[in-house]
Amino acid sequence: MTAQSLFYWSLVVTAAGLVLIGLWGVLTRKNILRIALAFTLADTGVNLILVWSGFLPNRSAPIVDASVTSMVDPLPQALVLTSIVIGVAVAALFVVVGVLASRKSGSADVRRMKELRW
Amino acid sequence: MVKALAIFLPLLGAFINAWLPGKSPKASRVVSYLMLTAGLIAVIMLSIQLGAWNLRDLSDSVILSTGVGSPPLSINLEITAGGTLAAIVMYAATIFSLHRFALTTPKSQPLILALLTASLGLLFATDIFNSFVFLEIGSIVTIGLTAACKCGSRWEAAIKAALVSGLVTILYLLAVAVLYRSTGMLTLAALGNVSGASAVIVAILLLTVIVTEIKAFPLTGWGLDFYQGTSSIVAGLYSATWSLAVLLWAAKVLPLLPIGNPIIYAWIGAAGLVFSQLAGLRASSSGRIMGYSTSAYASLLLVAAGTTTGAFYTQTVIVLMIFSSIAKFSLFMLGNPEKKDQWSGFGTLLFLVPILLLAGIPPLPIFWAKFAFLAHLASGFPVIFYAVLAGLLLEAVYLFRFWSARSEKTGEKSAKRPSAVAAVLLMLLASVWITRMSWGALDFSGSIIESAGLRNIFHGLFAIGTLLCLPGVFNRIGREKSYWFWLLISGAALTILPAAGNGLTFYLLWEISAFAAVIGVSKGTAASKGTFWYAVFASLSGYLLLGGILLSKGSFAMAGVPAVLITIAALVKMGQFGTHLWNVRTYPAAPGTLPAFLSGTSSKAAVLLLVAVAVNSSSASLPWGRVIAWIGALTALGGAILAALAPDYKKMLAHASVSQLGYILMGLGLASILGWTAAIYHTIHHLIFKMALFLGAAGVLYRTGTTEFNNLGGLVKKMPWTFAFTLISVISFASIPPLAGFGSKWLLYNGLIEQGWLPVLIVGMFASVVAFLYSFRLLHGVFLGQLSPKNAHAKEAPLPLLIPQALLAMAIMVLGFKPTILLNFLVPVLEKIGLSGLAPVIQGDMVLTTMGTWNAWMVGLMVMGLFGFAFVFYWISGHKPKYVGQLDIGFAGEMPPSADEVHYSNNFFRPYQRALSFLPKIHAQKIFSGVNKTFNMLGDGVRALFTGDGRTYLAHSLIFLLLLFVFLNGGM
Amino acid sequence: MIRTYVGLIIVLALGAIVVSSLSNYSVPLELGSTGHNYTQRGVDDTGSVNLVTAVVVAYRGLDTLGEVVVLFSASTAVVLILTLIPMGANPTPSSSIVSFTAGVLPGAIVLFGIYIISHGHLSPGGGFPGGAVVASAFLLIMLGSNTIPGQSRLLASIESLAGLTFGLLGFWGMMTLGQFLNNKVLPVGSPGKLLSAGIIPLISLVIGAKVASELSGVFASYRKAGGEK
Repeated sequence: MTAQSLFYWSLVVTAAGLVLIGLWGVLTRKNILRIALAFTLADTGVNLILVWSGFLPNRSAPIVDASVTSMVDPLPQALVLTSIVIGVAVAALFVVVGVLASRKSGSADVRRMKELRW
Repeated sequence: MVKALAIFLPLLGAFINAWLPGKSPKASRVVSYLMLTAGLIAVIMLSIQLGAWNLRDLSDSVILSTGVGSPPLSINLEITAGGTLAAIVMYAATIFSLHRFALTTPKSQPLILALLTASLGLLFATDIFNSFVFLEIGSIVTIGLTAACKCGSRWEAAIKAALVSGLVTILYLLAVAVLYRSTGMLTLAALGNVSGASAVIVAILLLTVIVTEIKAFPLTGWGLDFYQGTSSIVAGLYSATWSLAVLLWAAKVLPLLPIGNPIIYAWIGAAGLVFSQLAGLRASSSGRIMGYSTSAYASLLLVAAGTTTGAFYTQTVIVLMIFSSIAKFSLFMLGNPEKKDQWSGFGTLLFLVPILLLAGIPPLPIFWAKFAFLAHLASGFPVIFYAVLAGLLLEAVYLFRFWSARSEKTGEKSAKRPSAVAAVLLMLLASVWITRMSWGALDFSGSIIESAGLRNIFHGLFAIGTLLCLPGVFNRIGREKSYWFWLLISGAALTILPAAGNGLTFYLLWEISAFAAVIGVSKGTAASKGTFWYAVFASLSGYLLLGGILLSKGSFAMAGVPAVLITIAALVKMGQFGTHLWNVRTYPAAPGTLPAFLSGTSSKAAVLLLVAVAVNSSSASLPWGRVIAWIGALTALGGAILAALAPDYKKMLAHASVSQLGYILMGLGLASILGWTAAIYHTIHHLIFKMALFLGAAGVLYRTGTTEFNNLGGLVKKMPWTFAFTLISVISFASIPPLAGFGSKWLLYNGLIEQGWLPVLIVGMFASVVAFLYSFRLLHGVFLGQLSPKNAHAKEAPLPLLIPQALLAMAIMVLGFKPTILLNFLVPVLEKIGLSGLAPVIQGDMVLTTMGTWNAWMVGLMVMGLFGFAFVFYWISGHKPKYVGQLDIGFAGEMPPSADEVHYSNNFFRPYQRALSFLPKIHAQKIFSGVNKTFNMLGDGVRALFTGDGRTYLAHSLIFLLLLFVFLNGGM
Repeated sequence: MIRTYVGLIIVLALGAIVVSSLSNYSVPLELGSTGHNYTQRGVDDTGSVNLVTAVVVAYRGLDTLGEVVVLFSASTAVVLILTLIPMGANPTPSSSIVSFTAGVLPGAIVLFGIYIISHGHLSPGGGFPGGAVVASAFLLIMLGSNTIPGQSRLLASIESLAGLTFGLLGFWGMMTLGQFLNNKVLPVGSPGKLLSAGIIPLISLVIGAKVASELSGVFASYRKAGGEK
């Protein structure tokens, strides 16, 4: 296994692991802020997967220069940029809503936010 | 340029507004309105350019390219013809709701405009990542608006929406990554290029995202909580902009997913429709009910995506989604669940239009789409067809219950909701427009009943019945509102009904007639319950009829399942065999002369339907004629017993009406010419006497304000004419010669004997005997005996009610003494149809059958002679009656708790009731409450899924994803 | 408790899917057609040597506009929500270290941010990262100050103006070249120069201003709402 492909696979494993841990946290944590954190974790994992989707071994960053001959795909990097900003925006709103919701219900426990059901 | 303006003008407005509102709220609103109006004009221009208003072909589109180069390098927006129509709705909804937001949260304007931008973007997006960006804007704005609204559960609703949007983000981006790695492209069209293991991954991820976002069952939970928790303004704007955009985006993406056989969508949709609507039966809050309705439409979308393609798919989806969005928008704008708004009659009606629209009642636009769509399903996907039909019926039930519960709160305050009024008007305009498009599908050239004679009989019956109800419509009492308009519509639709040339036309007129009458009934005082039952049973019979018509591909030449469905539809309409519940609840609640119309005239539509089914069948008979005759006989008996025991004038007439319709069924079930002669004869006769009786009841109610026997009695002195006409009707329906009723029974019994159906005959005869009991009680309870002091000031009924009664009484006399006038016309008509058995022979005044002879004229003269003799005898005997007060009754021992207890009308037939008490009591009501309980239990079972814990909804989505994976790997 | 197990089972099953789909996956060695086109045509089309910026601002400019709207919506929503609830009286006082740093560093940070923004088409960077850097300077100032920041008209104006400019640049492209947000309404110039690449530097600037002002607005709202009661 070359260093490049080792990097490649470790990227995938880290990313998938982050997503899975994040989802596990989302499904099982009770504190709304921890759930927010778990979402950020999963988001990071997803962003890594996006990067991975454009990654090719033995290539350089997509900035055109006389010395550069082969580049990786610029598109996924652009997507990640967008996705990160969107993640920030969503997290900012989520935290505000989460904090205020827990102020309203007196605790950050999502199990207490079950007035609406059935 | 117009393209860009149409999509991005709201965005400019949003940016400007980010700065303005703190400074000058008025200026910011002006900016919003300017931008929105300009954008709306641009969209309308585009829609005209694309020929969207034609609706037949919505495939045309223009491209708005952005950035540099062309896809897949850059991003295009594809402005489709159907999309422009949706965009018009979004713009209009935003414009209409802006002032409401300005009142509550003025600083939310940038968000509203951003939501519109996102909706438009998603609507036209052709790129998967671009769609994602718009999806995120939509979720963020939704969460923000919800959290900023002024309602109690906003935080919870916002949190749940945020949780779900978080999960959707993750799943969606994973799908984007896999798609890009696999195809190297991000256009939606690239979804079709994915193959192998990646295809399954992309498909399950995106399908889970879509089902979650459109809130189709089983991933509905968060949507229900969201609709319930957020304020009605936010929910209204949401459903007309964002929800619509997501649905149409899903409609665009679903056919592209690499999923193999798309029929899986249809199965998810059909199963989801049934389950979610079962749960919907249990919903009580208005927001939640709208949530379930949304889920129903999302499921319909899945079914459509799984079973249809091409232009038909686009058209169906566009019409269904656009109009359901408008309906939800206007419902939300009208009804604020927090404030328990009260409405005037106008408001109630306004509220009903969207409900009728959602329930798919013709001629409102959704009906046309549902009809075509269901026809498509019926022709190729029977199981899905039945599931969808059942789901839609369940939806209609809870929507009508919702409406009746809300209209109970009707107050005198008028509905000052210009936005909702505008939406409703828009909808009605659209319905005219769409009806115009679909007009070609209507057929009046031939008729489902070939025999012109039969057709004319029914034309005449419906026209005369309607006309006779009209004079009395302005003699209203109490808080009854004007219902004449709806009576007229209903009657007009009925009158045209026999001319219908195909199933669609018949169904359309049938439903218009039924639901115009529903609206009419709703105008009564405290009519909400009666209206609800009528609406539910009208929906039931409507959907059965629709099912039958669609299964036989619109023609009435049918046998087997369709014929049985349609027959049951007719039985429900006639209130036969347990379904009388609606008659008994509706007639007493209906205002003025409407009960006369419903019982006398409208119920004959069902007879027409049965006749149509029979004459088009190969053997000119109904399916299972003997069973139908038995149903008729048992209903005749049961109805008569219940009528005898009824404590209320109108209720008694309702039971009696159901009972009398049973005789018609006996005749039709016979499928012999004698039986049919009896049936048609009795149809005409029933129309005459039942209308006379109900018009009499309307007069009594108008003058006394009550229909309870306990408060009536002795009115003969106050209302002699009403009494006389009622007496004639009663004599007639009690089948005493010489009046018309005798003839119908004579013919019927002849027919039964001819076929040897003696058990049916015996039950029928026994029912006639019981009819004596209630006919006596009717006369005695209302007109004879002593006058109640409460009615001391009662006067004779007004002329508009009396004159029709007089005409009807005259008709009874004529039909009684000279039935041959009718029979001479009827028998030759029936002879041509090809019924079995021998026709009765008419010679002068004589009617001959193989069993006997009936000379009505002679019989009449003889009876009149006997009557005259008895009268003379009575007169010369010098009998002097003693007059006593109504409650002038001695009692000993126990003191009754109230004077009414000793009223002779109280529990009049208790001895019979006691005598029959050994029989097991089978109350239709109990059966129905059992059915109701079963459905409630099922509904509770389903909705137990929606625990209210946001994480549970996330788990649902992930489990759904896993199941899809297993299924697709096993199935592909 | 049961939730933990269910969650675990779901996550394990998802993990199984991941493993099964990766097990027979081979690493590609060549660019896909889209990526290839970008690397071949990118500089000619846009004049930006940083191809990521070329994609972000020029090719997929609509995504970026949408992204700006996402941030805009989120910040508007946060500010809106936080103005509706009762505010804290005073923010928690900051330590002297923070106060001191807040007096020294922001200028340098802003300068660095502007550099990143303006060189987005030449080197890694652009409007988003640069804007975030500039916003961090404001965050530092806020943390160092002991008073509640008032409603800043300036921030709102910058935000609004920047957004408007972005939108109007889009319309400009539509009007002159028939393509919304087309890059070439300004001359492409010679690649590698600061003033080149059409409207890319302009849009970077706009994005930077918008991101900086919006993030600052969000920080300010947080700061206001988080104070002691």
